[in-house]
This record gives sequence, C-alpha cells and structure tokens, in this order.
Amino acid sequence: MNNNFRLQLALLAAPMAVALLTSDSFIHDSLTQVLMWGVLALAWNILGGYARQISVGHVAFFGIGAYTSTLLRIGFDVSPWLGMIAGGLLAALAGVLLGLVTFRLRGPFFTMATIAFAEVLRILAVNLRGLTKGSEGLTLDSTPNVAMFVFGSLRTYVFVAWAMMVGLFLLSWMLGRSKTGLRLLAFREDETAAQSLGINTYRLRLFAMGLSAFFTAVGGTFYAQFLLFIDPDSVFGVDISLQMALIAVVGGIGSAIGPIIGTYLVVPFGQVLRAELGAQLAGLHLVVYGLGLILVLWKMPDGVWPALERLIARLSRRNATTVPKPGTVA
Amino acid sequence: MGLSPAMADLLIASLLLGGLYVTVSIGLSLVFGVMRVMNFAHGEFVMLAMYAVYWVYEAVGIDPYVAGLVVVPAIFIICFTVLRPFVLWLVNSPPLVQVFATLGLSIALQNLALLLWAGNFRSIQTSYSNTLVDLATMRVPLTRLVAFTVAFLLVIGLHLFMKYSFFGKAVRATAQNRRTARLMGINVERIYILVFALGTSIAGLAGVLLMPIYSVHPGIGFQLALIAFVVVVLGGLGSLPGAVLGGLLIGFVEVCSGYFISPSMKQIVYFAVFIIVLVTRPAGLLGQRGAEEVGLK
Amino acid sequence: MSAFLSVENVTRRFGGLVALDQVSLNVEQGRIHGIIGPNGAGKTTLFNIIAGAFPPSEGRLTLGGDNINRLSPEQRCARGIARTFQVPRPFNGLTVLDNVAVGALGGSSNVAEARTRASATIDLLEMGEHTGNLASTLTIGLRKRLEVARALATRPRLLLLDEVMGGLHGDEVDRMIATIRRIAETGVTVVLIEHVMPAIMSLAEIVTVLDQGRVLATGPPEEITRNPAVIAAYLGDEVTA
Repeated sequence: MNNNFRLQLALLAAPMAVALLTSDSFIHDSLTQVLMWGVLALAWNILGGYARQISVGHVAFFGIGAYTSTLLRIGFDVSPWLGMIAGGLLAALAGVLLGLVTFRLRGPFFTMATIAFAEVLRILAVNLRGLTKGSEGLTLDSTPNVAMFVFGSLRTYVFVAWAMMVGLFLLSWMLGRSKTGLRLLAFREDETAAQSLGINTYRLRLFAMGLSAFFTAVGGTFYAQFLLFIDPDSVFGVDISLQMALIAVVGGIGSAIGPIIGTYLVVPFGQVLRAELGAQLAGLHLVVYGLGLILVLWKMPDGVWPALERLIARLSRRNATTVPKPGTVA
Repeated sequence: MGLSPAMADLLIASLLLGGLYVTVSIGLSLVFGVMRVMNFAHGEFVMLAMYAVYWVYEAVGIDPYVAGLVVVPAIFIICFTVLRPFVLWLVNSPPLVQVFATLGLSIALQNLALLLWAGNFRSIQTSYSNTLVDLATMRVPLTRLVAFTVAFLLVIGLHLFMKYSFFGKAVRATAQNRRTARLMGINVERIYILVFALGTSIAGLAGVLLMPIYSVHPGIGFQLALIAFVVVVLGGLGSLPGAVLGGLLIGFVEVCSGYFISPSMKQIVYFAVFIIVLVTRPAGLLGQRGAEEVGLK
Repeated sequence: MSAFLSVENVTRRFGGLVALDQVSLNVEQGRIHGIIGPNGAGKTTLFNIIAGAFPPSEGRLTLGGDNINRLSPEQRCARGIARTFQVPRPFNGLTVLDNVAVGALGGSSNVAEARTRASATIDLLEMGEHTGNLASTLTIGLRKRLEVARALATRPRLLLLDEVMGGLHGDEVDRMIATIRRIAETGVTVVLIEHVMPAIMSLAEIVTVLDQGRVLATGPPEEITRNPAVIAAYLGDEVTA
C-alpha cells in the first residue's frame, strides 16, 4: 500500500502547505473550517465508521464541549485548553450514558435515539437561561491570549486545527490497526459471532461512543474559541450532526483518511456555493449537498476514498506485478 | 360523572392533538413495517403538502381541504412514478445507505423549500379559521375537529383496507416474509412502491389537515418527524394500531405537560417518554419484542 | 472420570413451547461427545444454552465444577468454551486470516501476533491457500472449516461443533473427521451435533440422543444405534448411514 500511504501523507500535509504559502485571511478562514470539520468527521467516524453505529445526534457532544469550555472560561477564568479536556470528558460521560440507555437498540432505533438526545440538549440549552443565557448566547473575550486559546493571527488557528486533525487521524489510524480495531470490525460484521469469540461487544460499543464523543467535544471547544460566540442553535443544531456524518460518509467511513477526503471535498464546495450564490439563494448549497449525498451513495456507497483506492489499484495493475490485498484493517 | 370540566377539556384536547399526530406518524410506521426502511424524509412530505395547500390558497383561493383532494393523490402519483427507482434502490441497500439517502432527501427538500419560499412562517386564514364548535364542555376549533374526523376515518379505512382487500393482504404477506410472498406470485416491488406511496401520501394528508391549524416553515418537517419518531417507537414500529395508540398517548402527554408544567418544556416531556420507552420496552407497546434488536435486518 | 461439562436438568421454554425438558448430560474432559436426534429435537437450542446465547428456563450448567449459568457468551469464551454456528457466520468483509485472527485476539498482545497464531490454525485446517481471500468468496465447505478455525483460534478447552459436516461431500467429510480427531488429540473436549452418521460413529466416544427436547439415551455409539427407542425416533427421518 505504499502508493496510497504517500498519497495519504500528501493529503494530510496539503492544508499546512497552503497555509504557509498564502497570507490571504479568507483562505486561512476557509482552511480553519475545513480542518475543524475534518476533526469532527474523524470523531464521528469512530462510532459511525468503525463501529457502524449511525448517530445523527453527535452535535450533542459538540455542544457539550462548546458550552463546557466557554462557561468555565467565563465563569471561572479557566483556560479553554483545560476546558477542552473537561468538555471532552463530560461529553464522553454523556456518550457512555447514551450508550447505556440505547444498548439494545440497533439500526434506525439507535439513530432516532441520538437525534432525540441532541434535541433534548438543545431545548435544555435554550431554556436553562440561568446557566446558558438561552438564545441570547455567550460571548467570549477576543483579546489575543494564547493561554486562553485566543490567537492574534488566523494562521495560528489553522495550525491548531491542523494539528488536531492530524492527531486525530493518527489516533484513528492506530485504532484501526489495533486489537480494538479488529474487534470493532468483527463487531460490525456480525455481533453475535463476535461475542462467541470472546469479544465484549457491550463494552466495545461504549468505548467507541465515549471516544467519539470526547473528540467531537474537542471540536466544539475549538469552534467556540474560533467564533468567540455560541448559542443553542449554533452549537446544538441538527445541521451540524448531519454535516459531520455526511462528510465522513462521502469521504469513506471506516478508514482514517476517508473523513479527511470528505472534508476537503464537501466543505470548500459548500463555501464556494454559498459565496457564488450569496444570501439570495439561501439553502441552495444545502439542496446540492442533499442531492450530492444521494448521488455519492448511489455511485460510490463506500465513499470516495475506497473508490479512489480501486482506481489507483486498477491503474497500477498495468505496471505492478502484485495486487493489493483487500480486507485489511484501516 | 366523575370528570371535572378541566379533565374533560384536557381529554378532548388530547384526542384532537393525538388524532393529528396519528395522521402524521402512521405512514412512517407503515413504510417501516413493510419495507424495513426508516424514511427520514417523512416530515418533509408533510411540509411540502402544507406549502402546496398554502400556495394554492394564496394563488387561486381554493379551500385547503378541497386542494387536498388534489394534493394528496398528486403526492401518491409522484411517489409511484418519479420516486419509484429511488424507492427500489433504497429497499435493497445496506442500512447506512438507507439512512443517509433519506437524510439526503430530507436535507434537499427542506432547503428547497427554504430556497423557494424563504424561512418565514406562513399561515392561511379561511372563513372558518376561527369558527368554534360546541363540544361537550368546551368550544373546539372547527379545523381541529375536521382534522380529527378525517384521521378517524383514515384509521378505519386503513384498517379495513389492510384486513380485507387483496392488496392489504399482499402487503401484510410481504411485510412478514418477502421471499415467500414473491413465491406466492406477489409482485413485491410493486407492493413496496405502493406502500411507500401510500405512507407518504398519508403524510401529505396530514399536511393538508395541519395547514388550516398551524403555520408552515421549512423546518417544520423536522419537528414533525421527531414527533413521528416518538409516536411510532412508543406504539411499536410497524404496528398500525400501535401508531394510533402512540399518537393519542403523545397527544395526551403533550397537552397535559403543557397544562401542568410549561409550554416550552413540553417537548422535553415527550422526549423523556421516548427515552423511557427506549430503555424499558424498545419494541413499543404493541410492537414485536426484539424488533429493536434486529434493527434493519 | 470427572465431568468437565455438566448439564443438569436443563429445561428451556419459548412461550408455550418446551424446547428442552429436563436434559442432563455429562461430558468428560478430553473426550469427543456426540449429540444426535431428529430435526427439532432441541440440539442447537442446547448448544445455544451451553454457549450462553440465552439462559435455561431451569437447570444448571457447570464447567470444570464452576456454575456458568450467568455468564455471557464472551465470558464463556474466556472460560474456554468456543462454538461454531449451524449456518456459518463468517465476517464477510474480512479475509480468512483476519477472521481467524479475531478468534486469536484474546491470547495475543497485538494484531500481528494474532495473525501469526491464526496462520497456524489455518494450516491445521488445511486452508492455507485461502488465507488472503475474503470470507464472502468461500464455498460452503470452506466456510464450515473457517467456522472451526475461528473457534479453535480462541484456544478453547471445550469446542462445540454444530453440524460441521452438513453440506460437505465425501472427501471433505473424511478430512473434517481427521481434523476433529487431531483437535481432540491436543486435549480439547469436543461436543458435536451431527446428522452425518459415519462422522458420529468414527469420532464420538459417547453419544447422547435427543428427541423432542428430552434425552432418549446416552452411551457408546454402537449401543445407541442398536437401541430400539432411538431407531423408532428416527423412523421416517433421513439417516445417512
């Protein structure tokens, strides 16, 4: 898989290269968003791709992360770097609790439960005004202070987001190659057979949920620090759950690089559409998203990355003597 | 009798709301029960029907219920023809594809509405919008009474159809075992299209009934879908009597919590009910035990 | 002569249906124990209970003296019980190697080690040439062998084989018989459900006959096949002699 390995490295390095080579703040802003969504899609992928438990309520964890770090910052002057960890842990706990509640649910039952869970949190965020200031939202101090996760230069945000994405990529990649990764593969292929071979599928599921929730919350904190304003609709909205999942599905779930390809394709596409069509045609880019998703699912149900791998395999077969073996982990 | 006026009012209000919820949800349960596909775009069809009725009224002044006589069959026909390949593809796809394809459709339709008609809330005012009818202890909006009556007739009609008509029996056979149904000569594909079209046009009917009562906006599909999820899970996915029971119960829960707790928190109450049901009896009140563990198999 | 696996008065009901009725049997360590009976006798239900798929309605199971009634399937696997499924359940998206490696994970510190151990098990079952193939591409005979390999990779003390001969042709049956004998020779206790009589006759040291959820007879194969009650139970049933 050497070809693909180099390709993956190139894909990972690309945003940094672009960031270092340009000074355009608009590009840096776009890059930051692309990378942040990469983090979110990778986080979602741990549960949705590796464990194949489809959640459309992941924004719940995003919001928990955003609100936790923000409230700690505003109320107790706690650095969002620490708040990020706290938010992650809180989200992981919420994820595990959700997993406990839904442990017998499969397929659409599970999905619906996640949607309901996220909605409950959104409604709570709106109504618990004493805690969250409701729909008014919370604003963060914008004075640059590295210790407080506020940077003067946009390029620094790109770097931080990039570091997060690469870090999570490496973690996903290692998870995929680990014993747990193989167990997850077995689990999603046939849960009963996996149990008969000694795999504690109950714990495995909770582990995937907790880990996935943790990193989604980390993304939430980053978002809060990037925009310096959060409110229930922006950090608990279902559209975020959908986009996270959509990106991973389009890019290719179940691999570490898939969500990254997904974000490279989906996010700039949306940004361009929105820019070109402006506010008059609000919603058009999402119509395209929706139809595009259906198209990808129809033509490349595994996602773009596996289709790309197949293309590369076909091209290299003309020159090479061995064919890459399928079915390996991550 | 022992019922206080307040209790009677609550009951009547519950029934009226419950009837609406049944209409919104029963199509979803039908589609899942037969095709094992959860249509995450179900709410959007309600929304589209509402907009259709709205625009017909605004443009030509035709009464919403009359317009409904055209809109509902139109939805049926569209599903039967235009969406046919989509539906057949969906039924034979893995769970992941089913979920995201219907979600994709939902996103597309919701934003199409946003694109075409903007995000503001729209409502219609007919000559009878404010008409109240005397019913036992309270005065009830005519529009809600009409909605309940239609819902009632729908449920009866659906029950009779499923139980006594040939198509109804074919549908039930297909729901139980698609391979055997095929061996018996049933055109399974046509049954699927029929069921999808039926389920979706019932959603359209719900939209027709809702428009005189509520306002429409692009996001209403999602909100209604959430209610539908709770109703069908409570009642038992795939069970039509379950959807009826679920709808009435949720109507009751919502009315009571709006009255006893607070209007803004009533959503939380039925989500709490949802979670409790999922924890204690995921198959629902009238559903098959263990169905939730099989999921999409 | 200690009973390694002890099934004591196990009853299992499904609603109004009594699938197993006061079934008792003892499997001695290191032996090959056969379970036969007409279709619907409850053989797979018994396996499911031993493997932990669901609990008995009444009765007790002990393994090596310990009560295992409350253990989950994965816990029983940790105690040394491994099983195959009557209809093979391979991990279709994984290669043969990875399928078996999943079984070997428990005793390995990493995936590479699991794969190495899996290789050895694959060789034991003479599936070496299929190592890199996806499980979905295998024929039924190979899938059955994969089931056995995967279960074996968990290093079980008790191996439950559910109709592993079903669907195999002459040659394959002989090879499977030889393989099972080799497995038993390593000290693994084997319990096998079979319809293929030559397999039972040549492998099983003790046979238990189930009929309609009850134990009809237990004893050496030659005795069992001459037992008139057993023959009567099979009348009208296909017995490949």
